[in-house]
Amino acid sequence: MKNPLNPAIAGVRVSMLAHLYGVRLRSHAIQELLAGSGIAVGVALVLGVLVANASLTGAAAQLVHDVVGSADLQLAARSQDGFGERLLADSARLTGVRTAAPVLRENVAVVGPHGREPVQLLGVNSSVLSLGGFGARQFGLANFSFGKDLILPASVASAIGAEPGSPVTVLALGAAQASTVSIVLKSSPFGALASSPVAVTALPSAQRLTGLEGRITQILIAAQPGAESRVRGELQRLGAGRLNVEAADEELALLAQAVKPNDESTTLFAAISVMIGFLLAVNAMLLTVPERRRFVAELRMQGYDRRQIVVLLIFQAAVLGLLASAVGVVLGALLSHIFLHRIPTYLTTAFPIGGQQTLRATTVLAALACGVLATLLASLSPALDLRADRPTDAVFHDRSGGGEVLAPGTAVKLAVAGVVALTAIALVLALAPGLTIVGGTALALAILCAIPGVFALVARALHWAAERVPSSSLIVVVSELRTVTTRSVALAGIAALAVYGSVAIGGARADLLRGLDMNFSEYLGTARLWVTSGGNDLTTNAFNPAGATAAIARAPGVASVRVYQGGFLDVGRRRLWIIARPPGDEPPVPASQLLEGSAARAARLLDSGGWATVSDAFAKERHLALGAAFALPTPSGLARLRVAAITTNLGWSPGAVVLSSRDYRRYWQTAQPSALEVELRPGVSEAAGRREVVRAIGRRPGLGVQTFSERRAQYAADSRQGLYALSEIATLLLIAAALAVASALSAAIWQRRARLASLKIQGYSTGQLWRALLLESAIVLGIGCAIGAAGGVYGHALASRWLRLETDFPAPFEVGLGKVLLTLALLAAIALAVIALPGLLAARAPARASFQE
Amino acid sequence: MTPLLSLENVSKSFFDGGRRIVVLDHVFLDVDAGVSVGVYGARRSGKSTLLRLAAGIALPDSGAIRFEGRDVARMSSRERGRLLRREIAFVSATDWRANPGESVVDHVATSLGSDGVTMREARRKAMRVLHLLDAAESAEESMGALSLTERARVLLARALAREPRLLVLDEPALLPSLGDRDRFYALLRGVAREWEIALLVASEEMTALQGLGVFVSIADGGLVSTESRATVVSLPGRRRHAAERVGQ
Amino acid sequence: MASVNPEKTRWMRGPSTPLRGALLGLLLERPGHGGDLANRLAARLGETWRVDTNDVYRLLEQLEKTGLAVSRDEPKRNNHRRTHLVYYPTEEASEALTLWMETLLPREPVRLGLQAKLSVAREQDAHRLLQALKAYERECLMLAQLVGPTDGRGRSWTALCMDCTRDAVYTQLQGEIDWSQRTRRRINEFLEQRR
Repeated sequence: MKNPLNPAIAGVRVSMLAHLYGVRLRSHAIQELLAGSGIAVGVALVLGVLVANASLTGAAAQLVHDVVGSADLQLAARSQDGFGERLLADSARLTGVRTAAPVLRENVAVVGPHGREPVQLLGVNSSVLSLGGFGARQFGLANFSFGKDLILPASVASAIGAEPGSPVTVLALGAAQASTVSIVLKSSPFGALASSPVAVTALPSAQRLTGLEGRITQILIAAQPGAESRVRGELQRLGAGRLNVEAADEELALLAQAVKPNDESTTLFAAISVMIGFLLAVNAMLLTVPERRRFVAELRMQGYDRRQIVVLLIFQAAVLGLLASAVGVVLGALLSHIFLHRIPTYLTTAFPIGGQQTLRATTVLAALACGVLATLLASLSPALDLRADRPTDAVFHDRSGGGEVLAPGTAVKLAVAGVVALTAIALVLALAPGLTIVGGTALALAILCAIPGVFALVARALHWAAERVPSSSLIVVVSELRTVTTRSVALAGIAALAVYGSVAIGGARADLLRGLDMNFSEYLGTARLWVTSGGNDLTTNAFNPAGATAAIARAPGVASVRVYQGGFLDVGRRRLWIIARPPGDEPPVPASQLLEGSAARAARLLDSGGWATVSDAFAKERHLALGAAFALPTPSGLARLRVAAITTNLGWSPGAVVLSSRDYRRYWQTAQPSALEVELRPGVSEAAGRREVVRAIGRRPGLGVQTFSERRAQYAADSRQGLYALSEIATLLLIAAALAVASALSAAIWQRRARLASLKIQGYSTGQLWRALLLESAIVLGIGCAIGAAGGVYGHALASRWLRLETDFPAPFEVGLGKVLLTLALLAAIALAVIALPGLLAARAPARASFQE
Repeated sequence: MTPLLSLENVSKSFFDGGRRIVVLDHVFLDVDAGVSVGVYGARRSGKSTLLRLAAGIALPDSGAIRFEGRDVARMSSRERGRLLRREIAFVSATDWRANPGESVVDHVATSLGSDGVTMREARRKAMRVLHLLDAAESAEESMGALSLTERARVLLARALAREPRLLVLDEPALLPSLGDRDRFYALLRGVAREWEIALLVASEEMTALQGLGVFVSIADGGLVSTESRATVVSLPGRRRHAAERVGQ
Repeated sequence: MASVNPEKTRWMRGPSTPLRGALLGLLLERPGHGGDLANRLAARLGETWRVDTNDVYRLLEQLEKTGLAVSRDEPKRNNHRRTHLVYYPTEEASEALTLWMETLLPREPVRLGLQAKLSVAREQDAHRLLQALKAYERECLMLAQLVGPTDGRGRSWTALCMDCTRDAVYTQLQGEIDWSQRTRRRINEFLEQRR
């Protein structure tokens, strides 16, 4: 009777396993459903977090490879205005060079009928196609010739409302030029290119649009086989220390470095959230343990041996785990689709990264595995009854009420374990903050361990209260909480984890935002009005003022105009943010961001020339102390500077360097501003001043005027958007927490119907029981929330410390009481909503129900 | 001849709060193949403990429980599973409560699942036994919907479906109708005789024992039996000691 | 018990052995005249045992005849001018009573015998009583076993009456066993407390 579709596992047919699970489903459909929904919520959280945590570098790598094709080296400018085209011919002539393709890359904005999008303008010619870039190899575009019009990816075209043939305006380097859209790249064949914020045109056209006639920023070189190192040497000679010679896809390394701190911090919170999701699923399953134990005992009496029972438990857990996890994956995908926003704006100013939501198979598998594992883990606890020294039907004779009650010794043991874990976390993290991921998850476990002990203490307090306060509900609650049940521990655990995660992650995120806000507020506070070329950037796009400076200075109400300069500079693997402060910018370095050195001394040193402040990570990488000398590869060659102060990363993860604009002009050999800082005369309001300045610069659509508060608001929005992953994880956690608490509470209440009915026999009214349920749930959730909040604040402190130490971001720790209260209020609202209806229904259970089940 | 089941010098106690309650105190009991034994005892006299030990569900504190001479306590989990699957069937009136929604035929069939049969085979066999016990008409009803009388038969069918050699029944039929009780016990005796199954039945009503081969009463940790072999008239050590002291 | 000299159990023969033994026990406790002993006997055995005073006089004479009791004519306590026979146990009485405690009594009035023994048992008899009670339970179980089973199908009036009779026997025997088990329990609990 061998049937390959119905094999016997440990002597039980698969059909029999399925049937037995069917029996359980029919008898305990609601419990199973609620457990399943708990698991699903946990898995949704895990999936959402994994999606949010997926690194951006994948899409960017695709784009970079699309552009550079088979090129292996590049000659790259160190500033925006690039270098002369004649170097192209020189490099093409070098022996060993197969192809040399010129590229002009500038950050511009494209304005169409529906709006404006910041893009990276790529000026190329057909030589780039011979490198195999732009899909030339895949799609046989080798004979394509780039025209003077713009090729736009579909994402950009639809954002600005342009179609092939539409006239658009390109705002570049402070000037506006008219152009036309020639082609819109549909996403299917062009992949990364079609979803990236770029605009492609012929090189001469790009030079015209940017006003950089005869200049390019990059030469892509394909060397002949084996000639690479030789070509590199030749290029270095050609660059004469003023240009960078690097791998063609160097940008990827830079991007990886730029997103690393963000990725790391996301990973920290993702790990904690995954752990929480996992534990949520475990706790949801724990609610069903007593019934499962009874089922197991009964089967054993029918002659199922231990191995068969384990197979059965695993089968059931696998089915429930898989089904619930599948639902969780769908839910998670949905959540991430609704709540997750891709690509931080701040990165697009430095890297052309496109947004593609990628749901990878591995992510889905990981989330599924997590759910199934959690289910397995929790559902194997009835297997404890299979120990050799226990009677087969132990559960029926268990003096602890069917295994629902935790032995008092267990609470003490767990509490001790929790304290030990907490001490270990504190000690280990003090020495090695890098282990914060482990610490954060261990903290979640420690919180769970603490719950039974706290329960026992609260039960005593309640007992004391019940003897003094005349309340029938209180008496019911005291009798219910007299013993610590797995049910209430699981419920409190869910609440605790939810609050812990929300408080810790939300708190750390709030710290980070506050730090960034403070930083940018000081950074922008040096002027009352800012004139820039527009765009959501870090004031890194230089422009040609073309008389605007003088015009503004003449405007009534304007006291002075200062030229702010700055841009990005690739140093090693870092794309540093260069800030060049003109004299009169007070303070040149945000005082709140100083880690070493004093603000006043730093300002004096910067002003004196030859000094700069650097970010901590950069200083550490180069072993720089205060006063130490270092060199920066600038467009004019190596600039030798000394460290005036060490700062945070000023909000740009690869790090920032602040120097005086005099030094900048000297080394970058440009007087073009990245921004004009306008001071107003006393008594002139920002709004009035803004009107004056707008009038003074006349019809210059390439230039934008913002008041200090407008620009600060823009930066604040960008920081928030930049921390998208953290925000998303915090949001997901809160949603998951809400759902988990709701489903666990419903499950707990549902299981209580028989007990409530038996109280009815003893003369309790529906109202009294409902109030008792309300009180009990409040106490159980209250305990969970309190422990979770305490752990959350600790976790928050750890996470903020980690952010400061490991990522260099400004993240001053501050207990976000409002955030904690908001989380608690949310959970309370959910609990009330849940108890209001199912609770009332359960409380109304007729007395006869006590004899059922 | 080795008895089918024998309890040798078996003791078992529980704790009631801090106090030790000796439920079985050095007890001997033999059940021969095909023989029916009825245990009479008042409530809380230790009947259920005796039966759970006899079925290998619980293990004694001391002494040995042997099935065909083999010590149950020394069996592996698989062997003990086999014992409950093939040799001994245990019937308790509250067994079905874990899954009240299960249908009768499925309830009987699941007990066969540990033997590697498919659900279809198990159902077929279950139906046969239900027919035999006159309980086939309620085969598709749910366990929770049955009357006590019907349920008693189904639980019996569930045990018989495994064709055990020893059937252990703990208070199987406290049915509301006296006639139903009589009929149930007559049915049980008949099946046991026909299938040559040894019975170990415990009840708090002596009428439940009628027609059985050996009568045993249980009280105060000891057994009294009509079969002298199993009768323990010797006083256990502790008590003898006490009695001697009083006698001085 | 097999080695007991039959001479020593001769006094137990004949009807009313339980009452004879009980009377001997009462005498060993305290000597008394016929009326006194009859009253004490009635008090010990309880209302269900209808003790006939005349029987008591007859049994006392038998005890005297078998050499376990002696009687003396003594003045009455409240009326010194009149006398009555006061019975005293002889030296053999105590040993005889012990033997009686260990002896299985004839089947018919089993419980009556046990009840009689209980009524006058000395503390050192506890162990013998326990044995006797167990033996009694076994006796009851065997009696129950003798009752033929109902086939559960009897629909006739006669079958019904037979079932009812069966029930009467079971109920009676179950009652006996319950009483015996409870008695054992009481004795055991008493002994346990004494330890």
